[in-house]
Amino acid sequence: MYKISSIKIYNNLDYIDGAVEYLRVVSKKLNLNEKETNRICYALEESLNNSISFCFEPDTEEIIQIDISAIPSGVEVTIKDHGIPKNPFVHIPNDIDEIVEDKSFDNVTNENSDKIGAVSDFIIHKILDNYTYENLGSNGRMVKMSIYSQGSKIGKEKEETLTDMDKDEHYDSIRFSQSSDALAISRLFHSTYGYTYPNDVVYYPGRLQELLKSISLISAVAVSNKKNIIGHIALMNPYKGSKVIEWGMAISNSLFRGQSIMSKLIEIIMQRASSSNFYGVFSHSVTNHEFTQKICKTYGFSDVAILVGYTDINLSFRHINNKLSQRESTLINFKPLKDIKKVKLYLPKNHKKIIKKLYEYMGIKVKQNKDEVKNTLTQSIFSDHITPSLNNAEIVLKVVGSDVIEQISATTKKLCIAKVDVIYMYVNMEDENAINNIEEFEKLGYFFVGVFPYFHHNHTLVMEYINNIKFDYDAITVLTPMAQELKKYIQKLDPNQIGE
Amino acid sequence: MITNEKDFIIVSPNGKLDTISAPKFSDELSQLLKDKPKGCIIDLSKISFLSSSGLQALLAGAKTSKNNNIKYAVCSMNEMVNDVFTLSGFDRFIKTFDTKDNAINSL
Repeated sequence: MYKISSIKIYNNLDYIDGAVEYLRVVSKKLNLNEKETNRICYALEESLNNSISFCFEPDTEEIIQIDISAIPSGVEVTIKDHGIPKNPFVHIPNDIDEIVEDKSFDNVTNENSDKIGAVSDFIIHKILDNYTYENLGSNGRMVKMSIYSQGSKIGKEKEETLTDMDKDEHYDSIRFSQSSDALAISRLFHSTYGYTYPNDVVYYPGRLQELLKSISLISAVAVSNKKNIIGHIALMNPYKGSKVIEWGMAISNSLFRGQSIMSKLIEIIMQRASSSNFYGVFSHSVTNHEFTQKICKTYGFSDVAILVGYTDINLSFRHINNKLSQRESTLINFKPLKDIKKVKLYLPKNHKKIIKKLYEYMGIKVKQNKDEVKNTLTQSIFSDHITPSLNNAEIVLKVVGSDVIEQISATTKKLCIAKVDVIYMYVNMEDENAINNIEEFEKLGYFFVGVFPYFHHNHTLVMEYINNIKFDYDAITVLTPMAQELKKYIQKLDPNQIGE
Repeated sequence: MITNEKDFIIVSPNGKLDTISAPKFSDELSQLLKDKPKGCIIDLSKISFLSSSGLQALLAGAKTSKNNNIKYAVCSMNEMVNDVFTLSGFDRFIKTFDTKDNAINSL
């Protein structure tokens, strides 16, 4: 990603038009079409309007910084300000219908910034590709919003058939990808998955190309004797600065099945992972079949968490699966890449046993940390992020202050208004304050779904909130005894299952 | 601008319906609805930006109208305003029409 410009405005509504027009000019230069330009401009205007109107003390002059960045195939806008670090989503209803039906709106002259913030957020979520809100505690807040140019998305590819294929064409070799392979990789994904692959980066050759040039995507391809790309696999950074790497984006052209292409791709990528500096490698193993889980077992991965309902119901493997009956859950398979034998962690009393067991399977002994740390912090710091293509959200709890329950409750409501189906919250097991709040999070509807080492924290406890969906756990297929035990454990905790 | 057509009042705001203008617009709309016309149509053809505050002002008008048996609709939204209206789900609660004439004839 390369930054192109930064502008600063005062918290005065008169400055909004200038900022929006500037963004409009830049967006057009970056090849967004008129609709995409209108959308990102609307999001900026709406966000600044509400921020300036409701998030600053009257008669104070503050700076708002707006960074406009070119990202591969799109534009990202970051707004940072040092206004009142209040959460604008406190005391909001649970549903957009509830907002609309709320009688208090009969008198909008008594503006309620919380409710306006909620509607605003809901709309912005709907018109953009990414929207992240970060509460920085006393340092204010940061909003990131991005939109991708549909013009740079790969067009519809015709499905290949045996008759299209040269009968002499066969697997030839495996090699690491070059940035010039991006278009062929995008085509391979589209011809196999249509537009249903969960990670939509594969449909934007420009984005893929930039990732391949950087170190955030290590990718290998299988090539035929005719030099066509017939398989792909990758190691991906799940987020910037991650200590762990994910293997995935694994695909092979179905016309070349039976030539062990996938095994060869996995072999090369696992070797690469093992020689890297990452602390661990993981996969989101789908649970409507056992194929990926079996690969993980072969390569010594452990089962650490089940993200219930991780992907949208419409995302599926076009040539492998029938239509899914519910959102697809993924089993997090993890393999440590550093030789760590024991760790000292704060453990929630209700889940101590299962956490120790999950770590034990990774070859790590967990000792309970009993050191007491006096919490004097008042403000929590966390981020929330929605992935529209998966219709899920994640909250990363960075610093836990005395306001944490109020803040997480409000953020959960905000995400429910945005109609996300599931929310994952990542809690630091090296932070006593965070672990002391587990039972309170459970009262909000969150429940334990596993651990995830080096994901956002060194040792992460994963909690999940399901937005009023009852999952059929029998349809979640897991292979190993540990995964089966974990699934049963989670099912008992899922508040949407109670009353069975 | 406010006009009358076939017992309907036609309210045509222009510019932006945002955090500054929405409360004033809402007040004025509320005053107009006190006269209990047969119907009220909000012509948004001259609105370039509809914020969440603007949406709520429109919604307040819809509620007052409903409580007083006044027919109520919005019309002539540009593409972005229409996107905001439909994506927010407000089109489930407020009738929308392509043109003012369609609104008058359909209500």
